[in-house]
Amino acid sequence: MSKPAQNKASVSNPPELKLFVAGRDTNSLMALQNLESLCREHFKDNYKLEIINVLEQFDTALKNDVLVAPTLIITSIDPPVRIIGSLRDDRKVRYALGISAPGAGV
Amino acid sequence: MPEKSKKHSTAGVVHSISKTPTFIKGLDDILQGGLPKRRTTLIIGSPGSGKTVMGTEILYRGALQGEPGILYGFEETAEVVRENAATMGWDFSALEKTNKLLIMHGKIDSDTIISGEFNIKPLLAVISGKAREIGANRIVLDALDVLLRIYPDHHRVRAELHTMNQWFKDENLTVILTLKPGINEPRMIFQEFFFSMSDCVISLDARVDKQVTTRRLRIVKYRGSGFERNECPYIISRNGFSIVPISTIQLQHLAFGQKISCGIPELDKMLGGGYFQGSCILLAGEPGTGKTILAMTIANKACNLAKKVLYLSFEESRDAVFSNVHSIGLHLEPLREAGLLRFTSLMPESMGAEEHLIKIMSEVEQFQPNHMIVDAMSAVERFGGKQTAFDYMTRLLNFLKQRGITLILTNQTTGQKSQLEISGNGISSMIDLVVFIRYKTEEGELNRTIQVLKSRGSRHSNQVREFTISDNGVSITDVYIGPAGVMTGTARLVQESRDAIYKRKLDNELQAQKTRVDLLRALAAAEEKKIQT
Repeated sequence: MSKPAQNKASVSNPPELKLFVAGRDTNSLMALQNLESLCREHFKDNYKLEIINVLEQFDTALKNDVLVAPTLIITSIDPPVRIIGSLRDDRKVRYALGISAPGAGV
Repeated sequence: MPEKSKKHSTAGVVHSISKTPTFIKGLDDILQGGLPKRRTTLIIGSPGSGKTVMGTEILYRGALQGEPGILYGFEETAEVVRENAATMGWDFSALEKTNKLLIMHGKIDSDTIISGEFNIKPLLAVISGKAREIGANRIVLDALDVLLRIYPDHHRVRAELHTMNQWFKDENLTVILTLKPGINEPRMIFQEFFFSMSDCVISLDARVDKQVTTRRLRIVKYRGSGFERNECPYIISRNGFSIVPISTIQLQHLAFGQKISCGIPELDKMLGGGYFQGSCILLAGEPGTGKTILAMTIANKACNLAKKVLYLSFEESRDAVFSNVHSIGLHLEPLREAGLLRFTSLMPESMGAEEHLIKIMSEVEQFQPNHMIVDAMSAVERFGGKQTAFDYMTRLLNFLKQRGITLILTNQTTGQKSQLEISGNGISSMIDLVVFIRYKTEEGELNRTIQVLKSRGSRHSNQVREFTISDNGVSITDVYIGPAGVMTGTARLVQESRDAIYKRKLDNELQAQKTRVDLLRALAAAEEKKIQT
């Protein structure tokens, strides 16, 4: 599991993110939307997001052991953290990125 | 149009869907040609039943035939799959290098955070992308249930399976899924969906019966095709799967061949010249009547006629049998050395019925005998009961009859209610010749009689004869049929000497009468002379 101490340390560095999407399917689009709004809110433009369409780049999906879409991999944390799904529950994403929700504990 | 002409030429014949062979011996027979091509097949079975082995073997054998395949496993890593294959003697490295085989492992990270809904399109994209790369049409998804565990509810699973099914259909791939049946797992409610989405369902079952593991394979469904409906025993041997269909679709027995001498002239006479090549012979009798000796005498003669004999013993070791018959003048060791006689001794309890069957079938294929002897058929029940024994015997008999191999069975009968046992385990309709040896007690001694109860396709003697075993082997003599019925042994000898004495007495009487006649004639002649002079 990701450790909060590491997460905190990583906040100072710009987070590096990989989002694997399955073309333009609903969950993938939702994940992208959720992720971008969260990142813009907290990191402004200070983050790196790589979007990989698995339908075209299946080799990259294979290399990263991505079986389901959408899959978010936070590569700037060691070990990398994986979140799958439409990122609907942004508490979990915030926790993984080391950012706390206003007024909400984890 | 070729299709139209095909339709015409096969008018009235139901067309089966197009199939791809598994190249597994026996399985293609059961599936009547193979798996449905470009469709989905489900292999369902409990842990240890061999699902992965079967999936892997289909790919391996296909790859050897030039059909590239992909194994995508969720349970075992590629390394483990390769290691397991190596224990079967399957070398994947060459096939993997030439892109005939691709082994992939889907790692499911338990630390993954789940937030919201997702689908397995990346997995499908990877599989179909790789399939296009190496030109693979055969895909095995091993232990798919492991992947499906990440879904919180079965509605989602059903939706995913639907996506997957549609995807593979669009990609024209032949897909084999393996799955554990989740009897106690509520999540396996979607199992039914697996059944309905698959065109072919193969169920593997490993169960323990009387301390022996038996494995059964059953085709649950096969859309658009006929298939063997019975459960078929199988084993996983060092070379992979061996499956034997219980009932062959057609009985293709060879006709009887020539008549062969038994090596006992009197028995040949009783049989109208001997037994037929390719027939099934039952030597029935009470314990100790000499069934093994009779079987060995027949084997000895056959070997001397340059026929090959495979002897399967469930009761005695080779040394024991050989030394037994040595005492009656049969020397089998030289025949064994000459490669005419092969002796196999198996403990009935040592393995399950199908393992027994497959073992003996492979021996037959290897040794190519003309005759086979099973001593004793009664031991077959010890594999696991009456039904098992019946299955074993029927299948062995079919197998041999299709090859024109003579089968000689010995069977032990007990007591008086033995009329049924003589016919043997309910397979009597398949037995062509029955020779019955029985004890007969008289004058304080035990003798043996032999008779032919049935002889298909041939005239045979209906008479009871005496069967004796001596240092010079077995012999059959006519019994004495007198006022007291059939007599054998000393009773026969006594009766015969009694008869001889009586005959001598009669002879003497006759002689005396003749002398009297001569005397009277002489007297009469003298009287006549007196009158004339």
